[in-house]
Amino acid sequence: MRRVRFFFLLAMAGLLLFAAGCGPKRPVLYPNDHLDSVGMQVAQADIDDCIMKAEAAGATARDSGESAKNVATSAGVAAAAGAVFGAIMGNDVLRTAGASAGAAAAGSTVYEVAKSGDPASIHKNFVDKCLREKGYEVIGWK
Amino acid sequence: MKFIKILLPMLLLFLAVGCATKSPVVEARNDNRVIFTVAETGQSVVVEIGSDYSYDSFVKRSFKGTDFRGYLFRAKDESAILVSKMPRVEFEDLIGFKLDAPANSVKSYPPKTIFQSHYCKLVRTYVTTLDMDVVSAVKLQTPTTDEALCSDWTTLDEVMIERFDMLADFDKSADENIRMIVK
Repeated sequence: MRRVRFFFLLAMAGLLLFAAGCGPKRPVLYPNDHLDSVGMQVAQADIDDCIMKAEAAGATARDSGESAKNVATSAGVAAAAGAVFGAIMGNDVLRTAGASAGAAAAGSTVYEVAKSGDPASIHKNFVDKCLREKGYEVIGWK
Repeated sequence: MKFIKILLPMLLLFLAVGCATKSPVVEARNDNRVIFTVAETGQSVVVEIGSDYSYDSFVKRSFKGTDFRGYLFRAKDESAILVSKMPRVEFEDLIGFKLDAPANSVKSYPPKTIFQSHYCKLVRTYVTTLDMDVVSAVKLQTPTTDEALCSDWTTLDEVMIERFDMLADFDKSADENIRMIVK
């Protein structure tokens, strides 16, 4: 009986460690004047606040499961098409800021697209900006 | 005489085969409405452009060996919408991968916004397959006329940080002004 309890506790501890290791990443703050003045407890509350604002604005941290895969595939079609159509039209259609026309750019833009649509990076950028506005300096996510 | 008797049916046969392999999708524009219809089945994709936009011109371009044609609409906010169709094979060649929609099917893909740093341009694209063709509607707009600012941006994320409200309006307006209806 004691052995069963031991393994149960061991399993629970393992699950806890696993959950902690695989939990969502959070911003790491540089110890600047603002962080020193408010303290880590307030800073963590501000991080939570920014994360909630990002989620509320639709900049979610991640999509989940199979649906995320489908969205990525489907979204990739429109994104790649957008890169092509944008290159086809070049600067003819719009008054643009100093960019030179050139269809050769289309290929590289398709790859750029795949990165820019990453929900995690949008979420991070949103939270980083929110924290900067509060006076913090984000040096990374961990 | 015998020669003509053989030649005429052959010509008709070649014509029929030629027409069959060519795109069977016909298109027609009526003000802010462009209708693409599969001649054989009658299935169609209707692209309705909102009243913020007015028809500007029918554009023709040659791009990487593909002849591109589309209907251009403009709005007062200096954005533009381009509605076009092209053979699915050419579309797949241009985007660089095969569509997952089965051949001869109708499938609408979720719209997506990208930022083309090379042209300093936001592009939101709506794509629907129609038989062996692909119908697209694309909204284009520059997020800023400030050249120096735009040269600092390379990704959509960077534009989002600086112009979050503008980007949200861009997407919202596009969704309101572009409707792709499958019939």
